[in-house]
Amino acid sequence: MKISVRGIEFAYGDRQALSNASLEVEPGEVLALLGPNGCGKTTLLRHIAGVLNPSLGTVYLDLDKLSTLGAKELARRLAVVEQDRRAEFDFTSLQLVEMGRLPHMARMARLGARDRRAVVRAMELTGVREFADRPVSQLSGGERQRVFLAMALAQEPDALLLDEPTAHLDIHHQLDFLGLARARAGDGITVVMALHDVNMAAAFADRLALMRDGTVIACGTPAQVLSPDTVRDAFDVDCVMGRNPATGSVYVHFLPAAAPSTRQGHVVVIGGGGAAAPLLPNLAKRHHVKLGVVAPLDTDYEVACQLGIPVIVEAPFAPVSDGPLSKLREELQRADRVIIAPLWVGPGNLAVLSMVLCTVAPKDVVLVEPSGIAERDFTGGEATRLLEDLLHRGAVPMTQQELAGRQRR
Amino acid sequence: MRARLLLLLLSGATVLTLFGAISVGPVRIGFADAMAALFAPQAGDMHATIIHGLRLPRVLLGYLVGLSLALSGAVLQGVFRNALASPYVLGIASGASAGAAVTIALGLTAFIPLPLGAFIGGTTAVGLVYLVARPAGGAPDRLGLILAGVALGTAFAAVTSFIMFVTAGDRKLAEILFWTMGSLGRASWAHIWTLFPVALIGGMAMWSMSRELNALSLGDEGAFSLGIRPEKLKLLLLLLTTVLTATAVAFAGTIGFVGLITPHAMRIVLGPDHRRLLPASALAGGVFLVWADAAARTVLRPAELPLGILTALIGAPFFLFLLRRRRGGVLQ
Repeated sequence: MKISVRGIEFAYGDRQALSNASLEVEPGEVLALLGPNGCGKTTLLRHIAGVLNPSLGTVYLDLDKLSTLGAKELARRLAVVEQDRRAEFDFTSLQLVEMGRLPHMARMARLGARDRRAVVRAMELTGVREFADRPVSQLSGGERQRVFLAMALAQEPDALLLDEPTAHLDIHHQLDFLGLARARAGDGITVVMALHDVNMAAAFADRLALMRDGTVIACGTPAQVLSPDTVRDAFDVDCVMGRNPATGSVYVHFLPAAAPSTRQGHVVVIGGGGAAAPLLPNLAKRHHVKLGVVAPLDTDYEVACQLGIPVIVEAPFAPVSDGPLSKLREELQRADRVIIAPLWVGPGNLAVLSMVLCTVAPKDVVLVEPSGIAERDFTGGEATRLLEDLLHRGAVPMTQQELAGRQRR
Repeated sequence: MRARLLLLLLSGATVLTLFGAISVGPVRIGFADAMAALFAPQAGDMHATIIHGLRLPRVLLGYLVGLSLALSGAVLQGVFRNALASPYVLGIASGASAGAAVTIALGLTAFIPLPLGAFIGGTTAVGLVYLVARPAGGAPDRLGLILAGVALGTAFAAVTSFIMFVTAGDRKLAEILFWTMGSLGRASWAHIWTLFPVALIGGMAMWSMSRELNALSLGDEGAFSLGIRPEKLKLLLLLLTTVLTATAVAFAGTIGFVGLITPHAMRIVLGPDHRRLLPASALAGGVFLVWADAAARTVLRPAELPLGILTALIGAPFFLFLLRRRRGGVLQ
């Protein structure tokens, strides 16, 4: 079943919950709604479920306007599993799954052969037959969610709506539940789920819809939607993109939050060739950091961009030219500290080191891993002499560990 | 299996109860004599007069009242998703008491039969509770209903207390007091023929909604996702239970605990499935009230104990026992 949400507006009292939210979900596809708390995921899902009526806009199930469908008809097309649904009284798993047949039954009718088949199949697909006669209240959280999934499947719906169904489950049961839901999409059931966990969503959904402030800000495959920019936009956190090495699915590595008020002092990091990358996350937490002078495509450049660190850029494989150099001088003059990463020095970037030497007081310079400079020196000894001179005049030598430790303290 | 057995047992108990209880009372009549008087009454036989004129209507009314209260209690516990709800949560008891007190105190009994006064009082109270609890343009939630029921119930109780205070020393006070404590002493065939169809039709209607009532225990949204309009269903069930309870209360006064304890006990035995719970509660409620009344008639023979006192005396300890056995405390 195709689900189309077109320009929905909705407010809880004065609080606008959805503004112009639109979404298309194709038949048999798994779509995950992602976004921070209060972004409208659940509200949007409740509109698709028909629980809430939009003040503006329309939800279509295939070609039908949702608002024109009766409650029973709706329940035959859509089934819902929520994060924390509970039955008040002590029903057994079987009794609960049988309730899933209600939309197919006339009042007072008994369960027919077709109903029983649907119940058995739903319980087998979710692996809950073994505790059919156990009260639901005695099951673990993961087992209970599977029973509710079985109830939803017993409805034989065209679409499953899952509202953070794994929120209280341990990792084993999260994977288990989402795997079961994902497998149902293989049968042609459309799955729309609101999830908290970005990486679970990326692993189990065909497409993601990223939400913020009651509207969908990006929609597409995980690779299309997830980037440091969109993630920061939606969640206000920094991250670095990667891939799950085994499955190849997009994997987001989140970075520890930087509390802006605790950042103090301006630090310029001299990097290049990936030498500065391991130092940057820690430094960025504590200080206002600038990076110079590196080329785009350089690992240092990418990491800095992902962390939101301003970079002084030079073209790749070119000697550092006057433009970037004068920019670097400005930054160095303002800096409280300069950190020289253990970088490779060649004729191209030797000028950068000279600039540090003649602009900054040596006691404000930190040399990371200075002992290895001999192997990293491709200038015929000139770079080594330069750095030794710096050390001699009061620059501070430090290992990477020392620097990281100092940051923590 | 267990459910069928229990329903069978309860049906058997019903038959035994109806026949057995008519041989119990202040005047000692043996079972054989009672049966003779029931099936082959002789003209002028005092036993036949007692059986047909007094005991049979009383036993039948007692059965119907117990059935009605237990059934309403079972349904309301489902509607409120709370096993501690009683048929009186929405203020029907204090409303009916106030209605009865007003009717008696103002000497209206010549124009309005006392049961009608009580019925009007009870249904008015529930109607007010519903309207007060209802937010603008929506259906009331269960907490709102329960709180409004408590508040308005207190107000109606105050009306009754005021009337009792004003009529102190009057014969009317005794009458009001007697009514509020509950009794089957006024039972008549007219009462039976009024309550019987209400209980039959109302009971069948409620029973026909037991699957929906089951689904309601998933909460409103859970029920909705199974194709049920919860507000509509709840309103319908509230209406049915109100009419049934108010009719029962109109004839027998406010008899406590039957409607609370019976469904609760049945749920422990049978589980929560309303398809079995409703008929079992109905039968058990009837049987329980008839025997409670039999005890009320004989314990202080020849004086008669108000029935409400007896059900409370049996019900309260049982209720406390159930409270203690609930896992996770009283409030969840």
